[in-house]
Amino acid sequence: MLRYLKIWKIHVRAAFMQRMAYRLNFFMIAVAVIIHASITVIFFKVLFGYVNNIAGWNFNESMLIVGSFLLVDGLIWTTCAQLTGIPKHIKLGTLDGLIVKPISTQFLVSVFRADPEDWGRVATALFLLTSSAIALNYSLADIFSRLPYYIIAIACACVITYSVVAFARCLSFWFTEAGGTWYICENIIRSAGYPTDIYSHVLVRLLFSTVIPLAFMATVPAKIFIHGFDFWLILSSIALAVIFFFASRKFWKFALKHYSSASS
Amino acid sequence: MKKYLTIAKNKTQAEFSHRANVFAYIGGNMLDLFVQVVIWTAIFSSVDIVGGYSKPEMITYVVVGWIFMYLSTNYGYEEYIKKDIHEGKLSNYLIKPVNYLSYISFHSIGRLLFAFSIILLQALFFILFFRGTLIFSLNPAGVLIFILMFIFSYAIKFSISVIIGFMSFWASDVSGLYFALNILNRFLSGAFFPIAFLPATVAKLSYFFPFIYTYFLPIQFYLGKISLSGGILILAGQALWIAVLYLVIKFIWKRGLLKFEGTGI
Repeated sequence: MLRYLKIWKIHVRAAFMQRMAYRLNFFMIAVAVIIHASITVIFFKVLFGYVNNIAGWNFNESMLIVGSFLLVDGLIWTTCAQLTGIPKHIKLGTLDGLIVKPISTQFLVSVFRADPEDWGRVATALFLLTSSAIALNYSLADIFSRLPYYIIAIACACVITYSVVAFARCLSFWFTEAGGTWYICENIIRSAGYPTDIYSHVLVRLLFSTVIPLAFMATVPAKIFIHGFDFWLILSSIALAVIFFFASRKFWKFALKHYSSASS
Repeated sequence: MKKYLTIAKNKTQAEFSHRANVFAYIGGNMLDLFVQVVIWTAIFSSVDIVGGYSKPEMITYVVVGWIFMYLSTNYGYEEYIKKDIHEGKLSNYLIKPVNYLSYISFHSIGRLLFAFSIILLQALFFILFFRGTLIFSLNPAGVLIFILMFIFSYAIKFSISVIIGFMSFWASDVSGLYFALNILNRFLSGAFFPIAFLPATVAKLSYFFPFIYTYFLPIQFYLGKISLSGGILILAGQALWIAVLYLVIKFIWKRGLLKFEGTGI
């Protein structure tokens, strides 16, 4: 485990050095990332000028969803950059070099790229969560009693998001041009930034709670932050995270068997 | 001219060769629009008017705007041009009897023809699906102006892409510029939400950028919020921006070629 952590740290440092080689470019992306994150807030701010709640969520509660979404999205970008390494290695045939290394190939392709500019997204998320908690008049005792459960929910959301992304990226083993599958995945993840209660149809709700667990990517963590410990929500989050992670792992191994090197 | 038409034809054929990818993009597009429509439907469940838009107007803004935006998108030509410059492929075009700008333009038109066939199919589906909600307000003259607005929007977006791509003559990485401009474009064009929702100062500021001519104003025209004569003024504004961007392209192309080192030759 320690070895994996060490390798991840090396990759993060390398990614940072790579980005720093073009500082102006890094600065522009970092600013754009923060602006992008802020546009969602502006959107909600504008909307709540006309309505009191959206599907039962008031402005500050909605900001907890947006904050949770940005946190999960930001963490995925800063740790494994939405697994952009997988299609790249398959297309160029450089996966050959990683397969022979004495470490999990899935881990190596996952940490292949980490985007340091997305820490801006994480910082925006933390700012949003803090300011929403203050606006909702939560006492420090309230926040600290809910925080451990919220962290568990966020960790599960990260694992679920990672697994969904891994599924989409692994399709590159069959399709040389798999940008489309990623586009679907990107839109799925992006839609997690809104309260899943807006989906009033029972089948759509079921779909977004199980097959594509959109609800568990941001709405459920926000609910836990608001209402505190909820046994069934925590249990479902953990169960879905475990199921999705092992399913994606199985799919990765299955997909890897279909790898035909492009260069060697 | 024939050689450029061949470039466009080849590009269209190449795009059709990755059918699975195309269907995946269709799925992604559907999802993108579906989520937006669901959000606005949820909002309009408690109010009748939001920012001067009724529910049918807002759904039309989202659906027609979506069709308009995707049809006029040029799909990452910044990256394409950047590669040509940094990998030295540009040298190949310089020694051939082709104009690089014309080449890249027709290459893009080839992609557009492909996108057209795909997005029009989706558009037909959306129009049938939302037929009870969508507003169809244009008369024949309005349709003609709206089509011209689409062509001009495409030219504006393509010109911006080319300018960013040509920045690669000086910069090693233009992804930051592209990403930042893309966010600014979507925000100031009204693609995230109508410009009318923004504070008056920001809304006024957006008129100083070309982006507003590529989404918000054409859709306002479509919705009948801008008159026919207003539509002609929008076309004039678009034409002016195209002229300005073209001059900028010509200027940086000349300057850039002096800087070009022909890496990879």
